[in-house]
Amino acid sequence: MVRLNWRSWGAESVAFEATSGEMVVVDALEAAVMACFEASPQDLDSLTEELAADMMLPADPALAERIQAIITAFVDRGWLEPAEPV
Amino acid sequence: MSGDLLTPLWRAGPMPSFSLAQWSLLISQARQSRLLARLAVRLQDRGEMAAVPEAPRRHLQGALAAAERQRHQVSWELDRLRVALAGLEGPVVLLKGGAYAAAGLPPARGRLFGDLDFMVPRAQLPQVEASLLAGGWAHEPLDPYDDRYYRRWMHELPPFKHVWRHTWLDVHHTITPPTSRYAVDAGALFAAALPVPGLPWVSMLSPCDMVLHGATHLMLDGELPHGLRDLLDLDDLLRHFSAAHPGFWPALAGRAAELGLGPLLMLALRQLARITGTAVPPADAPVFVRLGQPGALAEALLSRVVRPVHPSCDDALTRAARQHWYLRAHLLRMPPAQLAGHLARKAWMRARTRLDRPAETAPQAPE
Amino acid sequence: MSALPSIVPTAPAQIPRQTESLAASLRGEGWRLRTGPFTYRLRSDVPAVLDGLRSLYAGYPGVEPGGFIDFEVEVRRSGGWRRFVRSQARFRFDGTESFEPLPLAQGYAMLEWAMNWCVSTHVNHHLLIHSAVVERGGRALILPAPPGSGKSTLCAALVNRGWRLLSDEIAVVPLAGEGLLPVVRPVSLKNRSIELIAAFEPAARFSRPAHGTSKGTVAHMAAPAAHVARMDEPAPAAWIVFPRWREGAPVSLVPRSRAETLLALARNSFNASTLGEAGFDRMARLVEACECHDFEYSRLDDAMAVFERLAGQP
Repeated sequence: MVRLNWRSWGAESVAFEATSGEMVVVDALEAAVMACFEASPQDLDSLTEELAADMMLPADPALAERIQAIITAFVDRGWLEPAEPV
Repeated sequence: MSGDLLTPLWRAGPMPSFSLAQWSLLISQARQSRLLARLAVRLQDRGEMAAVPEAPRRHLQGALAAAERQRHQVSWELDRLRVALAGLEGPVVLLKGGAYAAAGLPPARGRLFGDLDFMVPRAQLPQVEASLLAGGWAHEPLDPYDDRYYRRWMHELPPFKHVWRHTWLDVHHTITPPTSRYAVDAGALFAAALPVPGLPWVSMLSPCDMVLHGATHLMLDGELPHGLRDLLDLDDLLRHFSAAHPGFWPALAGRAAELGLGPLLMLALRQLARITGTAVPPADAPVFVRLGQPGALAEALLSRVVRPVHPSCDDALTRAARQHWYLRAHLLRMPPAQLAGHLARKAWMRARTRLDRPAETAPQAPE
Repeated sequence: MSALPSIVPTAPAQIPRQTESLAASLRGEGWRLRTGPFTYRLRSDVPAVLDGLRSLYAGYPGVEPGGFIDFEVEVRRSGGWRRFVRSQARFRFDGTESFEPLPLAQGYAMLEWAMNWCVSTHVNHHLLIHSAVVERGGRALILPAPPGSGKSTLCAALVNRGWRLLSDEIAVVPLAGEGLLPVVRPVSLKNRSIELIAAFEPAARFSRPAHGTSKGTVAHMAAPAAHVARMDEPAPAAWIVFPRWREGAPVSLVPRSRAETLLALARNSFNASTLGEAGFDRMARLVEACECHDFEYSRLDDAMAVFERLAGQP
């Protein structure tokens, strides 16, 4: 159902969700988070590690908190959903 | 009345060849009747779109694109609704456009969707309301008097509007006003409801009940800006269900009798026979005869009222017919003592139309 | 309301033999008119409407007999007993009235508003942005218009300083190709802007101002005849500039990021959500092709200098 279209210019991206028609400006970290999810479901810890490595940021609790906040915002928007427990 | 170019198109037969002037009129009538996209779908399905001159074709294709978009947006909205109602026990039955879209039924094509309507058991209304409010929907401000009328006398809660998506929801607990002579047993509707393929969290009315809901909605809605569209939706459903289910017609007659909706169904069926040629198969006619004949006055009124709402389709009696129909529908909806409620609803409808498009409610001097 | 002595309703310009029948057409079968890609059939018995059309619509192309009409617009005097009590103008589209009537004297302003409304509400085959569009040297400047931006004043001024008018209200952007389509209708101005532009360009022609509208006094400035004549010449966009008038502000032109511009363009679009992915693609292409800026000003002359410089750049 979620179909994301992206345009990126430098550190800023615009994400457009084609089903709902919603559009939002996202920063580099938010875009990277969504890119990871588009590839496969994620859990917070491995996602934090992966992004820290990719973006050369310290993999500390502050980063994890920021990523969690990003995920929550995307869940509220309907672009991410908690995966079914196995 | 030879000005109505739109209604005749729904009988079988190829699209007539129209002049550009006639196309102008037809597009205008179709747009006003909310049938522009549906007309486009019909032309496309029958391979007749390419033959339409470019100028009118742009409007048709624009309407098609708009309807296509709305279908996506409805599916999104349904998904948001799923999330909001996730904790709810008990059935959620989609109605009208929402059901057509979710189940991929023919009336969904070329439809310009308005609100999402669904039905829950009456006892669940408080919980549903709470879930929706928590999910970002809100009531538009209503004064306590109107608010009480909706909750007590109408068959829906006051409508909900999502605070940032600006989409509307109508929550029902039955399909006809409990105060009307056509009040139905909602339990029977829920008992017959069917799951929606692919959407396990929601159901829809059974085929017979869906048709009956379409017929009653047509008859009991006092304002009929899209009476023709509602009839065509009904036509789609009848053709679809009768082809898919042998024995559908007698089942429909039986269910109409059981729910006490016979006269309303007959009124709708006679309009359809006139407009699209869809008719009860002769073999099944006897059970329908038992449902009774609609009154001649009601038929004459309705025939006028379902014409496209366009001056080219009016005759001297049309306006009077619409007013009479409005009054009649409201007498059917509630006993005279509650008739005052209709004023509230009318005011609400007007207010709601304004709220939907605030930039266009009053001509404003430009920036 | 202070007098505006410099604004004189223009004498009926060079509408040739059509003038005598303009009134008759309006009252009868309708006056058929094309503005860029859109055709209208206008009917009215309101004197202000006749005045406005006569003053400002000389030289606009008509529609061939039997040609397709996109929009049927009626602005009529209210009938019945109200006719003498407090005359009103009512707008009907497709034969249906869905808006509140206005005082009769505002009839022409109502017509202009109605013609815009038809396009912004019912056109889905082009992308539409709420903005002014002007062109210089074959390149179009888009001025998106949230309320309070002063875009119309800026537009009117630019049009009188070497920029060709494409539209003062709606950018018409076909989904394919690069060119924006001109509409070239009169530029709407309100309150002090009317005097300002009249002083800025004494040769400019205006409709008779309408007082007491919801936004104050409204008048329309005629599109220059040379611009009307070029109604069928599209222009590709090169600049997107978000204007803001602010009292006493020094003039400033500051780059805005493409991402923010894309979002703002969508917010200012009439039908981006209806056009879905195709609309998003087109807006993204537009943003890619343009220099994007925020612009603030208080004095028109300063503003003109900035845009002059912009036009001069390769």
